[in-house]
Amino acid sequence: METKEKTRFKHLEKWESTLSACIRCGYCFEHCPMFKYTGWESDAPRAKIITAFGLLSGELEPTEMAADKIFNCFYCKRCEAACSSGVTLTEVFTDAKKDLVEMGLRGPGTTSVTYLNCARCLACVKACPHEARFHGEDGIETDPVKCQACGICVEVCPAGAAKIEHNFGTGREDLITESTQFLSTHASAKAIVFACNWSYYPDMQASRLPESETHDKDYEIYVNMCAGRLESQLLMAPFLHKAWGVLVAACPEDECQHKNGNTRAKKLIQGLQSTLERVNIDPARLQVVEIPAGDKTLFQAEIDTFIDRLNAMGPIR
Amino acid sequence: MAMCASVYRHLQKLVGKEYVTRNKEDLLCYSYDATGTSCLPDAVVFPASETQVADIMKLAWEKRLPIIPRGSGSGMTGGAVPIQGGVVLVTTRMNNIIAIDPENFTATVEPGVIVSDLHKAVEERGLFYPPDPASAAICSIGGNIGECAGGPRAVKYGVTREYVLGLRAVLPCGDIIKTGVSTAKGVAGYDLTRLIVGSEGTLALVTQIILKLLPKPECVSTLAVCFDDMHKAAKAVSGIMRLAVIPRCVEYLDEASLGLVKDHLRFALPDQARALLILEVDGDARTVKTQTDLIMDFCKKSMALDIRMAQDQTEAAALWEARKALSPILYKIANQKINEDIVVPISRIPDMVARIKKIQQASGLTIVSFGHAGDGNIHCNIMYDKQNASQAKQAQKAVDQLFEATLELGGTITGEHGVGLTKMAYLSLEIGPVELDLMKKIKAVFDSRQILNPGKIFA
Repeated sequence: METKEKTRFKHLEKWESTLSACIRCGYCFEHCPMFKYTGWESDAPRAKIITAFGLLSGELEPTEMAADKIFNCFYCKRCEAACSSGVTLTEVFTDAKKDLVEMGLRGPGTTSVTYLNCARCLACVKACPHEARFHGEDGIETDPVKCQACGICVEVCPAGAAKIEHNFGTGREDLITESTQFLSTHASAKAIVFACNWSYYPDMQASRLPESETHDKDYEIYVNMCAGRLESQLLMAPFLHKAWGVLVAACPEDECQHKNGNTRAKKLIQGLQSTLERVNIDPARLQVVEIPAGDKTLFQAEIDTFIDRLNAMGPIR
Repeated sequence: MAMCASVYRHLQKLVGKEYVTRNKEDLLCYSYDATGTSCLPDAVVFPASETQVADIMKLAWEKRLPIIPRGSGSGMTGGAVPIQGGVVLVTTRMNNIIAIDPENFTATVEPGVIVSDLHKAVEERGLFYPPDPASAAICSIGGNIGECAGGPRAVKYGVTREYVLGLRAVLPCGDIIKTGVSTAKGVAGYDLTRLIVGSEGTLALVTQIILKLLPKPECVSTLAVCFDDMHKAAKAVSGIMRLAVIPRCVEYLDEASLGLVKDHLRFALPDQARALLILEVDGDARTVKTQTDLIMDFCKKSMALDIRMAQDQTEAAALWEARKALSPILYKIANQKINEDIVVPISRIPDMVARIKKIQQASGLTIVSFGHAGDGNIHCNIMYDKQNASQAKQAQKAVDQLFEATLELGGTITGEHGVGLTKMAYLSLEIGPVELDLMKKIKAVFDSRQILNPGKIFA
């Protein structure tokens, strides 16, 4: 590969051989929640490597659009686990981000941003597991290189001022809309299951089943990038739409990609369980289970147990 | 050749602005497939329906614009690479499994459906779609139709073409055609379905596929058998087939492959292991038991070092994961590979193995072979350093010799990957001038303007 004599990509440069080690097999597609959401190759991990390769070789100009693509990543790292060439994709993206930021290109992609209604309470600064949020000259800012788009700041912000603009269907509004729609269109619906991208391995990658196959489903699974990003509003919404229960899958202790997303989720759910109890709803209708990465069998077993328990309890009266 | 603005606007009108792009950032991402070959298209379009595909095709016909069909871009011969520019037509939005009919054993699907999604959907209903290329988790059924994909289970169940009953497709001029039947039999007229399956997207754009399904086998048993010599393994394969036991898969891995995947295996290989067979038998519980016993006995007699049966699905899955990881992992040996998927008659596998060994010794390169031994399909990977000119020359020479040997033994130069760009130069070794001429004329009947996936198959 020929690189320009003086590349502006000082950090990306060291990955030159890694970038050509990616053999473009595309086996990372099936693991990327972004690709699955948009169906655009340009959002797949393989394409981001191609983009980085293009930037480094000079074939691609560092434009806002190219930067936005590189900044779009939830750091779930499933692509890395799947890569047989051993490419550490997210490290490549992080270094590409460093160079792009130096050129004044900051995404935002999936980086969290701060809205003007921020009260500077510093809750997000304290909560950020990646030390990406800080009090800067213009108020609370995000370091776009450090941010891994876990969304924990979005969850803790009391003013709703922390946002991830490109959430690829994993944001609160999207998930509420989707889960509400499932509950209102399926007479058989009982439960909503939220899972982080590590616990969850979807049955359908990117195809749609005919309505006749799905009309009698009793639960639906939605991916939320990190359990730490689950907000109470999201977890309670299904109960307002006749759900019998809500199940949350989080990573086991010490295995969270975002340090403590799982423990945050557990704490949140404990609180919500007492709320449920106060309004005479069995707290067992909201549960959190630990699922090690990719353990599909255990996940399915936990769902089945939960549905059995709901069947014993019946609908909420 | 850049696309003029009015044509681009026309495309936008046909599919909606958000479903067509010509940003350089996107074009680059759609410029390649799994061969690593890259060539920029002029635009990428994402139609959602057959009508949209037909409209795009009509426009392309009028403007003489190349159209390159693309599923997941996981092809092995450059089939989806826009070698002459033009518009890449991506099928990801046409991803509906339209119907699964358990009474008539059929499924009707759109081309963007992912193959493993189809597997799951039909298996849930007690049905079975056998073709299982290694990339099933990502590749699209449309791409499988284009290349007539195979996979390990082809030994017993055959390849994609055996399961395509009928198609709906758009011709390069934009006309919509319907081929084949939705019944188990059908012989009315020429078999256009079979002509289109495996035509590498050069004859028509498939928009709907009626697939034949089978009842899902009740039981599967998976065996791993080690040998201290590749030749013994190859002989065991033809021996097993002669027992009148047809396993659903017989995969073999040679010494070099074993070196690469041994860390992925859940058991330790014996030190002397030089070849590994992965066998799978399916059917009702009693048949599976009898056949498994027969195979195990035969392998013992064939001096297998070690015979292991997967105790449960997880163990079997781990074995297959190791096999499926093999193709990508090859790059650990050298930065460039020439991957050939030759096929020889089953009885000639031992001869072919011997010939490959000779070619390897003469070239001084590493040749890794593995593949679907049960149907004679050997994935032969010639590994070399692309920066090293003499190695590159040796590799080319090895390919020539490999094809020569394959054809001498009564085989074919490509079992399931297709010709695309990478095998174009070799097609005339296998196909005679009269037949080649006939094929080119067929292409011209479908596509007199040479706009659908141009520059492929024929040199």
